[in-house]
Amino acid sequence: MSKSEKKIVLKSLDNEAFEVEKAVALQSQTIWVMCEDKCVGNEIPLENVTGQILAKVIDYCKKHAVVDGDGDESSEELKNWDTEFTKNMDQSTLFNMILAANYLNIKSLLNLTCQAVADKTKTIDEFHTFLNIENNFTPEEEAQICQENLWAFDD
Amino acid sequence: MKPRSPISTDNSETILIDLIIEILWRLPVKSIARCRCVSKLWASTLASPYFTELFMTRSCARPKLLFSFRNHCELVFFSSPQIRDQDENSSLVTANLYMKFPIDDFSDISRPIHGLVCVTHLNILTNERVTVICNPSTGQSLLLPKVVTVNSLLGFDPIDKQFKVLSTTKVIYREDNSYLKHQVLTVGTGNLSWRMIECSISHHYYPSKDGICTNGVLYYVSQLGGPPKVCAIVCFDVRSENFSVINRAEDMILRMVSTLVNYMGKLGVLSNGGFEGLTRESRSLEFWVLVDAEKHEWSKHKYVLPSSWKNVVAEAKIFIVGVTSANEIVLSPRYLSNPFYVFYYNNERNTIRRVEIHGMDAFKNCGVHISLDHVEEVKLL
Repeated sequence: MSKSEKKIVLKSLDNEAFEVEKAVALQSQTIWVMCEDKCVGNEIPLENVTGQILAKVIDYCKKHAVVDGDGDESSEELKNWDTEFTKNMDQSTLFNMILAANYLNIKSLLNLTCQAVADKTKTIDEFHTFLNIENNFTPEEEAQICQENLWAFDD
Repeated sequence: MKPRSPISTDNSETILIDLIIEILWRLPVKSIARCRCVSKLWASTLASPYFTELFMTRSCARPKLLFSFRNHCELVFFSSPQIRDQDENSSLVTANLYMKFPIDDFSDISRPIHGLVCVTHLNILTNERVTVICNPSTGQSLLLPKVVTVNSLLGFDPIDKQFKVLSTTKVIYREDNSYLKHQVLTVGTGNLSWRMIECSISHHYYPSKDGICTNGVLYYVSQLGGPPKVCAIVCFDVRSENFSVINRAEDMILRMVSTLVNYMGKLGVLSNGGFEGLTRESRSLEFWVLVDAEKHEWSKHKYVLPSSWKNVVAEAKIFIVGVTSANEIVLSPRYLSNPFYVFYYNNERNTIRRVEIHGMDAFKNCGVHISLDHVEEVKLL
């Protein structure tokens, strides 16, 4: 395999291009399938991911590709890296990371980001704002369902 | 920064609810209850069998210790992680309050099965017993129709995924004669009512207060035959509602207070050192495992306790709680103290260690009942 075949170009929604090792990109099942089907050239357009998010996804894949490859880093270090990776992400970035991990079908990244949201989101208001969900209960229904789950609000 | 508006496009909604489930099943049980109040879609999603089973699967991977005790007029539930041997630096864990539940003067609590417990309490003023199914994880409780009962045990049928309560009543006829009447109630059918069932076992006396349900069979110790009466193990098949008896092995000590345990899906019996419990002076543990129920065949195991036992147990008086899914025998004192320790004995490695449980300091001297391998059930009753 020549050097160029080992590399692959990922193009974001906003036309930002990233050249990455194929081994890094193939952690995405979506990209893997695209490459298998040979329906794309060396450049893969990713219509649902912005450049800002894609850059972070690539960071994650790079880190995990290296470790899977030579086993230099302990799983403990990798875990710490994962924690740091999501620690300072704001809710909006995290949410877009979840969408990207889902679209690109990277199971471990989806697990990581969903867990991060689960750990960070505590109140109902946070869920409403974060996932942009409309509270469609009538005031009576809301009062009733809150009453049924009252024990969960005692702290 | 305000998030984008992912819900605005219709075709993304199905993807989105899948992703929301991905997030929600990772939440602690308390947050699940809060999220029921987020929207109608969430309320119905969280009540769907798909979600509740997903949550149960996750919970089974992280079994907990469930502590229950009476404090004045309340039944209090706490839970803590159940520490496995391989978990390092785990000589201290924190127990968190699940729920409090008002009770009358006297109550019996069944062992939790599949996340639920059955509480029978006696109101001494009216002399009535009330049976309540209670989910310590979600705080939900379900009052069962009144029944004259001396004892109620909770069983779970894993095939039909149904909870059933077996209630036993003593019926006295003529002066000294009595027989037991058995009634069953199926939980979650909408129509909560007691059904009378036949029991072919003759001379069947009271069941022990503590039964154990494993693989769809409810086991409890009972006195049979007589005179003289002998202790035997009664099996109640939760699905078929049939009773059968397993005789004890000849040299096996079986008492009404013997601890029945789930040993890797099989029934085990541990002798508890009588009412005195085990102390630093104890030297060995006798353990019986049911090999073949039909042939009444048992295997006997004797574990000689390690030399470190003496120092680890120190002044504590401890009783067998059960065997964890990771195959460790758990022991604990009968009363909460400060500090409070739970002991784990690993018979394969012949090691004993103690784990301090924080968080229940305010309830010193309360008699505590500990249950192993507690899982969180979020399905509504």
